[in-house]
Amino acid sequence: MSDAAIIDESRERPEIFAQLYDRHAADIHRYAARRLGDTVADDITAETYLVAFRTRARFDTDRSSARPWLYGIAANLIGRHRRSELRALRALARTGVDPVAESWSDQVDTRVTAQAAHGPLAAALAALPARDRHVLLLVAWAELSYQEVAEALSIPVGTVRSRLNRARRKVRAALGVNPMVAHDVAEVS
Amino acid sequence: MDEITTVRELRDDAPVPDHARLSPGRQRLTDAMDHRSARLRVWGDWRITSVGAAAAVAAAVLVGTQLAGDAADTPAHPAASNVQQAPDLSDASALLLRAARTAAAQPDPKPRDGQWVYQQTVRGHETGPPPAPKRQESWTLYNDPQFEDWKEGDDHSHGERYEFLAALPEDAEGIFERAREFYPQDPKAPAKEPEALHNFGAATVLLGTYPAPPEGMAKVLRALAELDGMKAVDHLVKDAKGRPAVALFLESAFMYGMRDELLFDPETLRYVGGRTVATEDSDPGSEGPPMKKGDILINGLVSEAALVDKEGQRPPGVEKPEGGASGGLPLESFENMESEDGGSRGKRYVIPVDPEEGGTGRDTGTFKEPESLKEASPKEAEPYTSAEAVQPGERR
Repeated sequence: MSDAAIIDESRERPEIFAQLYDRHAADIHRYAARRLGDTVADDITAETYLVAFRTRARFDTDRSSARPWLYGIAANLIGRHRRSELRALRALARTGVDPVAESWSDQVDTRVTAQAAHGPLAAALAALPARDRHVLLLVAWAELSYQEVAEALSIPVGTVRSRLNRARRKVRAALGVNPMVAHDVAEVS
Repeated sequence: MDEITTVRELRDDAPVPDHARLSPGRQRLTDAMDHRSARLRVWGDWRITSVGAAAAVAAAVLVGTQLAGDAADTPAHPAASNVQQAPDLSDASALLLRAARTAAAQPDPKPRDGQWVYQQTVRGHETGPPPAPKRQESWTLYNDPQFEDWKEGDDHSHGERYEFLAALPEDAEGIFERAREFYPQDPKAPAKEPEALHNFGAATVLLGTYPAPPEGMAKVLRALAELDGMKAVDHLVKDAKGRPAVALFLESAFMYGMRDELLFDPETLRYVGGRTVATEDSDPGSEGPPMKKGDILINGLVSEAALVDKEGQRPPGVEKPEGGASGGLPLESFENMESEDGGSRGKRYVIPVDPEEGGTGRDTGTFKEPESLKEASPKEAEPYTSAEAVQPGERR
């Protein structure tokens, strides 16, 4: 049964909507945790599904998968926490210690120390406009296609491309890679 | 190595959540389903992020009040206040001028660069289950450069807002002109809002400034006193903590069926917070669940605000809020449901507000547990308890 069929059916039998939770909640949670830490992810996941349930009548059942839709709702909720996201990224850039990763690692144990490249990367992510950061991370972390990102954020695919290109260029520059060279390599491979 | 790969590696060790971790969220979902025909809705904060026009509202509501801390937790109405005269709710302008005098008499927090702004916010007495978490605390750098020089749109740093208020001119027209520049309209908004509403919206956000220079806050309130269309709700309402409050708003036809209200302590006219109330039945479609007239969509205040030296530090006497900033509260049963009349509804499932009077027809009926709620159509499932409306002059 496709996600769309479940949502369709849930108009008559709401309880079936819980199947969407069982299918995708773990992914949504992990994505939210990567952005904000795992306790915040608990709330974001729950709220994403509450919003989804209440607005399910508006889901376009021509789309078979509910994933882009759910990620879009989650992105909205994540956006509320922008300040804390930026704070964590800047802390990582400054100190090499990632407060977000600490949320799931054993805190009694050694502190999480990121790879050398992650400091400049975190700084670059923090410097991105929120809308570009959403696109980049939905592609890189949630593994959505351009089309799916477009659906998630309700923007045209062309806008997804341009935002992603801009974000990649900035990240590349921050990592100290020549933007032109990296671009060529990426295209050849 | 290509940069996307580097991005993918960041926090790649995030665990896949296990069943135990995910089950409270699933429970919240199934609870919501159980009450689907009860016309309940969860005013999670989705509305804040998904309705552009509401963003500024929400910021204002959640940012709250200049004078917080102990005063906010002191019962606003000790028994002795029975002898106090009820505020005259027919004159919004006079109320705002009193509010301005109160604001002017507050101490100046005298913030310094490098300090952190600690705030604890409370949401409550809203229609529907309480948002989770109901209390949140936050620390933000007073002069965070990320929020200065328009880097984050019109989301200014605390420092910029303090300086803005400190530099306001005296006259209402000049104040509103600067406020509209400081909080410009969203160029992508579907329609341009009238100037009066823009003035009110910008002032609303400014009233949520902490720390703020007292005279700057007073100027904003005096300017509002001169704004045409300011009205007071004709009875006392409840703030997010359930305390009686005077509610002031701008009468405007341009609010998409919602209205933002500024809440003030009935005795001192100290600004305490704000709420957003539905003014008509409406179905926002994909933006969220339908609303009924009188629904309290957002009701928030700042219960604690202070300058501290370090992130993570709380002011003396302030504890970590129960439920925690990120811990989330379990969905309480629906005992705190409220409607426009401010009455505490007990276990109630529907919010009746007379569309004509907004007041008649309240306080009737006794609560019956709706046994066949799931089967009942929304129209049929409308039992409710008697409401204890707070009227001017009444003290609970």
